[in-house]
Amino acid sequence: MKNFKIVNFVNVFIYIFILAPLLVVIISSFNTAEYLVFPPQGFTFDWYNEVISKGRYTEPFWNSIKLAVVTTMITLPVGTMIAYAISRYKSRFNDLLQSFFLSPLVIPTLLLGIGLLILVSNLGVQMYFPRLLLAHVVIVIPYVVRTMIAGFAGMDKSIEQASIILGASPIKTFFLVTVPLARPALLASGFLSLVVSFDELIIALFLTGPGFNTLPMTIYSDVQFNLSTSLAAISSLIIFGTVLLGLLAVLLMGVNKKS
Amino acid sequence: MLKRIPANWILLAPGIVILLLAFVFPLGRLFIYSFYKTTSSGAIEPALVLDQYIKFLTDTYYLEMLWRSVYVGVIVSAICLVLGYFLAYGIARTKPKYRIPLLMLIALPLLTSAVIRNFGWIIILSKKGILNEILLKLNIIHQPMELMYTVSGVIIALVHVMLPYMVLVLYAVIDGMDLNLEKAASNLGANKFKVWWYVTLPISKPGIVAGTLLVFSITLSYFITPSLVGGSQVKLIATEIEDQTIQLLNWPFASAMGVILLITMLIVTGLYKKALQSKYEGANT
Amino acid sequence: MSELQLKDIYKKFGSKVVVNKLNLTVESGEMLCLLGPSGCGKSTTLSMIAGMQTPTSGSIILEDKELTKVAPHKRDVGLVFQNYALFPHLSVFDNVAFGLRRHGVPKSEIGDRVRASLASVRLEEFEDRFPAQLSGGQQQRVALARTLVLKPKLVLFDEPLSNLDAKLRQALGIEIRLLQKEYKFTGVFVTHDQEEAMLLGDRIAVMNGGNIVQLGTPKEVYKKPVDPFVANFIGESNLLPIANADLGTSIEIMEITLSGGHKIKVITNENNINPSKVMIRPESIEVLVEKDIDSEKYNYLTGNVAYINYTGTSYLIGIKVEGIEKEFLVRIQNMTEDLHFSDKESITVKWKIKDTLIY
Repeated sequence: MKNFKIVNFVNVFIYIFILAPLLVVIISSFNTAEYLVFPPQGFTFDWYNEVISKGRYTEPFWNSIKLAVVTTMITLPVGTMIAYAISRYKSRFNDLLQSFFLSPLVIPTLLLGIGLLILVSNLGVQMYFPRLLLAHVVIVIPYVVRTMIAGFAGMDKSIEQASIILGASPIKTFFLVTVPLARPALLASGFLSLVVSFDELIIALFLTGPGFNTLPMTIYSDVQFNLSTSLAAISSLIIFGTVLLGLLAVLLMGVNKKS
Repeated sequence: MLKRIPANWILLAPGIVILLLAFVFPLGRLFIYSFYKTTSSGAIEPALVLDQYIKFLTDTYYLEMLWRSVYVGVIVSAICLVLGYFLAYGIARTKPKYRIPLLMLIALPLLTSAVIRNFGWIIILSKKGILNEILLKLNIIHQPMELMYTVSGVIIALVHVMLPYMVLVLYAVIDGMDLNLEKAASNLGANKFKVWWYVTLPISKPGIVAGTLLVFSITLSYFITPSLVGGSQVKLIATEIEDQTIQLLNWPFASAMGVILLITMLIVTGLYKKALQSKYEGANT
Repeated sequence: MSELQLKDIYKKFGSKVVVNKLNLTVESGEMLCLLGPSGCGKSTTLSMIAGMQTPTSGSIILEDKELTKVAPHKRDVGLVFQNYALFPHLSVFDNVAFGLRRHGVPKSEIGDRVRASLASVRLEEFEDRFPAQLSGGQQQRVALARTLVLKPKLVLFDEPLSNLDAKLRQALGIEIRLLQKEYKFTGVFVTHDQEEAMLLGDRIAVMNGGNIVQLGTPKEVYKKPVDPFVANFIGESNLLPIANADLGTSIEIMEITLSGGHKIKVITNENNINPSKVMIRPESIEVLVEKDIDSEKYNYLTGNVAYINYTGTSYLIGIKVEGIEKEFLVRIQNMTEDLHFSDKESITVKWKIKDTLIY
């Protein structure tokens, strides 16, 4: 059935609404003026240079990357094991387990932040990276579990059975057959994990301390106290980076279909 | 599979341990802390009292803040529902090859840090921002609008943040619908609008309920947008919690507010579901 | 020898009994068909032999070795699936080589064995292709090659032809029979299609509700179905309700009155005490042309033509007989002339008394 014409008409405006803030940030980043004024007064890449060469955002950037990568290195295996256990083994606890592992999505990150802050303070855990890491793993696991459960569900079980009957033990079957077949889901989970951790702000605000800033934290502070075109530049770089990573993930998924 | 049950739990063990340690336990501590005392000097005293709750519930300042938060949540959900439905329906009914790109465009903001999105809104909504510039140039207004640091501005930015969630939930339901139902209705004589009203809309109800509840829940506890776009002028419970925790270090009070927040979420969700259940059952006969 | 024994196999899911004290011996080199409607327990039985499920009680013995406790990846059993279950991310060669590699076959040997196996299913040219590039029939043949390259003693087939079109089904079914003679394996074949069972099975075990209702060669099962269920499941049948039964003049002949008052005779034995139904196969019935009535040899029935269907190889006539609810079916094959009957025309048919079965 064809769309109501008015639906398409309205949607154009909604799309503009959705993309506007991002476009505005990107456009502002090319401004010649140092402080944000609209409309932009000129076009330059200067601020991108500034951002990349000067150190203001470099350290937070690498902190966020490190955090995102290590988080992903933990959540992918752990989350996949959970999803596999729930998908391939019959147990009356499966529904309960699934709800349990998806529950961090339902609880406001705000509350998790307070709770973790209280806990780590009580335990005297000083180091910021491990604290953030633990929190990020908790936040990201539901995404991985959910994506992998969907991935395993869509898989033809008889292919794994064929592998077993041909002589491959369950563990061998998992690595030789299940994992290759789950590649799209794994890529999607990895992508989500990296992005969610990298962009995360709330937990970072609660659990870090002096000396350790994530990039979103720095941007958050600058948006309030230090608006400048460089800020627009680094923000735009993040937008471009995310898009590129997404395209890469989609590309890698496509390579799987060899026909 | 022969004797698989132990293997099952071996796979689940790491995840369970992590979640117990870093999720269940902290939330438990939060709950316990909400019953602690804060002395006048600011020190925290373990106790089992309702002081924090009483402090919140007897102060009109806080009650107004709670009410305002719920109000904002409802408005944002309602606007997201309308806009989200247009989008979800529009995408679900376009040519299949356009659907994924269109959905990805909507997901893009989701994958961009909230700070960046709100940064964009600050540029747009400021007195000297784009929106005002455009509206002044088109002579629609004669004075720049004050949107920053107001509830309206916060609502606009929140709608933007929450819209993708609504669209994805609604899309799943509308796309999953059997198209033959619409064709059958059309064949029986219903015009396009009637088909939508009598067939598509009722079938999308589960998506509507899920989407609005999701958006409401997230909005209620979301503090990045009110903090950036609203500043200290817009008082919502989420920003207050952050304030109490980080700036004032009044953890017991912050915890109590957190619990009140959760309870509010549950109550509103429960009432909403109840109200819809009876309507839904009625329509089902 | 590669004899398979199922002893008292019992499988319960919660309170539901899916396989009920099954006892079966499959002779070495035989192809045994498990035939039955969905839910009869045939697939569950097969998956227990494969090791994908465990029996609640009972044992499975292959070549005098107890199989029940052996892990599925250690059983010397092959399994061919309905939807082929080829590894989509591996080439045809790697699919067939998969089992060999898991069994530690030296690299030098693998190439030759894979090619020999592909040759036996006539797919030698395809070794570098991927499953997605193959047709259904080709995929199933790769699956066969993959299974047989391991030279298993027992091969299980889980409705392997159901996803293929009719013509291909027969061709591949015959190919499976030839492969069995070539590789000399014992086979258990699950299907709900009685034509497949008749084509492939040395013996057929007809299953219903978790039990084997009848076990026999295709001829035995077809000509002497042991109850109305089997009679109805295999081939076409006319099941007529009995109003009254009397032992007639001779102890061997029973005189039956059908509902509607029609009288026929049946050859009986002591076991038929209170028969309720009479069964006649439609193709055993002829249309009466001459006026001779030989009531020592034939039964007769008269009615009105309800419909005639021409299938190319036969005519199917449906006759409305008074007092009998369902149309009486007559299948005429090998007609020398075309049949012409007008609607509701009166028709009399006959069949040999010895072709009448009672239950």
